[in-house]
Amino acid sequence: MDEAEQTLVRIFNELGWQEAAEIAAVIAAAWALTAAVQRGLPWLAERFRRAQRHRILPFVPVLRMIILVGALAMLLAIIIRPTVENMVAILGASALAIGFAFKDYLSGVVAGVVAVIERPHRPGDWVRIGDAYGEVTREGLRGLEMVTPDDTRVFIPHSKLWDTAIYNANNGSRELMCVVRFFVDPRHDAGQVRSALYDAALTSPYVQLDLPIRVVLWEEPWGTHYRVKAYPLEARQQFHFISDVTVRGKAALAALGVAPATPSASVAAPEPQP
Amino acid sequence: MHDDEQSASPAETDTEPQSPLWEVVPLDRFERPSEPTGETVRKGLKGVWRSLLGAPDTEPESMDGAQVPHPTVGQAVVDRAAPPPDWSGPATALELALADWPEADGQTMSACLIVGPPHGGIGETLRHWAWMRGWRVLEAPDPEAILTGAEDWQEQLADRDAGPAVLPSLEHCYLRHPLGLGLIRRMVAQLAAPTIPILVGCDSWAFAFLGRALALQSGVPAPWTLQALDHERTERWLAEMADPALRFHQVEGGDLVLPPPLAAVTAATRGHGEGDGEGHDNGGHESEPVSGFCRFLAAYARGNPGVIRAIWRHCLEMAATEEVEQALLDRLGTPAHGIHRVWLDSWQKMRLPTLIADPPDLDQYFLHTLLVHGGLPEDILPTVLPAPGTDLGRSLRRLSADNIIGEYNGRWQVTGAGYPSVRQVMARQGLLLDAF
Repeated sequence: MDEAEQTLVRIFNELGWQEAAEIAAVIAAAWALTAAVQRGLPWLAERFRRAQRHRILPFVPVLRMIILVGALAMLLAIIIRPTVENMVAILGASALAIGFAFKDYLSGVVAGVVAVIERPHRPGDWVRIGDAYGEVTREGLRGLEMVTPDDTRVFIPHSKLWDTAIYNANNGSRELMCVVRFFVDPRHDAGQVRSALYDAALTSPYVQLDLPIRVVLWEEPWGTHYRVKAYPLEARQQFHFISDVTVRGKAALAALGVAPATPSASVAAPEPQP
Repeated sequence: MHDDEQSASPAETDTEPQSPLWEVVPLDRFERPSEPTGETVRKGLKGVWRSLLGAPDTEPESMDGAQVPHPTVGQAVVDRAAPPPDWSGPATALELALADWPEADGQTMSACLIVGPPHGGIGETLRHWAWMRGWRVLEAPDPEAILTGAEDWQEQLADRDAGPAVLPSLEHCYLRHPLGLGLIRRMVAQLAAPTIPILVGCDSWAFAFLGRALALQSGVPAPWTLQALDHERTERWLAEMADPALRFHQVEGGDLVLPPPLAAVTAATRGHGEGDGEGHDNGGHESEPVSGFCRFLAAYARGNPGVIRAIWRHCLEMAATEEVEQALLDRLGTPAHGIHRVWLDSWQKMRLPTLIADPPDLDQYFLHTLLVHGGLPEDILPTVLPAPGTDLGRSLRRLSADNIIGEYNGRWQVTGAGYPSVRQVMARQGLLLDAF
């Protein structure tokens, strides 16, 4: 037996059928637990009242990470003789080899670990990453899944975390501020219109009455721009809420005889943001 | 108004009951009846189970009676057992509570607010009280008039020549619509400095919404309310209301559900003398134990008289005429001539109208909107709710078939029997609740 072989024998345990069975059992248990967490907690969250849903969902990535780290530790203990020298040697060698082969993949995995710690988004959050806006439904090892308001499933790698801004609209809570815009002709009683738009939000059945409603306005070259800021009862209802406040606001403005803004060809109105 | 004497007991008798049947108390003294501990544990466990599986307590039922297996007592008996309530008792209690109001000098003008839950009888009580005092009653404006400001209608509130007034339904004076709050805003300002004495009744859900949306509490004096009926009062009220010829027994064990009418007890005592506990006519059985049925009923109905009566009627509609064991009949003996026995299942076996635990969003908002308005006419629903009329129509028919809502006086409302279940779902969904 040459020196290299002797080194390997020192590092690795002898792997027989029993060890192989243990490895298979650990992998199977980790897979089953991960699946249970990924499916069970969202299922459970749906069955609790609205306020508790956002407290349950963030546990999914944390528990999954604990399961993953635990399973890796158990596998290493089965495969490697657990001494400090052996651990340093095997981790150093594998890191070098895997690092070159799976650089991008590992970048995503590491970003996933950072995401679990820093929590820029959690399942149940409404986030904008790049061009995509939607509800985070699942956080995987390498990326997250979100569902957009148009019911499109988007997969975004965690590695985006390194170089892309993440806009989180509710940040783990059920409250999410919605902004409803109105563009009206400048010739009107602004106090009256502001009160009417306040009532448009106040009377919506979707509105969260415990949180403030604000109406802000400013003049633009083409008219007056109003923004009604309020919170729906639940983040998922944001589009219903915005639509409802828009309908109510338009009815109120029509009753007051206030005309919508008509931008001239030379002055472009700003693009409405979702 | 004097806090220490705000109770009246029109139903007082020579037996000196422990507490007056009806009391009008300041809102902060309102006390709901507590439910038996065993029932709390049972409901808690059931709630956890329901949370996990998303299943309702019971399947929503329709009123066709198809699931009732035995011959029932019939509507005529139900009407004899629970006729329309007499609201003169609560009105007398209100009169006692407001004995010093308005001030006798005729100079100080003030408003007085009475708040109560749906079906709690506040409107009926105020109308009766207005009749007792000879005050005029102001009916709420039409919903269409509210949307246009109802300024003509509002002038009645300041009409000194017409004298003091009673407004029984403040909840019908606004709409949850951008054009539907103008009137109530002006009314709140008017009630803070009234020009005539005015007694205002308000539904508790509307009071909660207006308190949150318009800070109603800060503009009006501290409200009063009708005290909840605890189980003892519930037994007395239902017993007084029922035809004295009816006896209500539990199918299991034969215990009485309600104590016998006082007149029957007195007659029995005179007729049989002391120590006669084994008579075989109606008098001989009046010493039988009374079951805890009303304890469950009062707690489930949150002490709300209208809800208690509605659920009592619902239970009676499922009551049997002859579905009991012969041994039980032998033990109880033959009832006296003219006495009719009604057999009820235990409270736990009652199938009450139940809203599913997680109804569609539209149903939730539909029901909540009905509650905060104290009921709405069908044609105004599309104006206040964010859904097309066709969807609302489907929702309305579904909830109506499940006996969760019903139409009373042209307004769709949550039914008395379905109200506790609806309130539980509203709480579970995190929607604005009343304080009752």
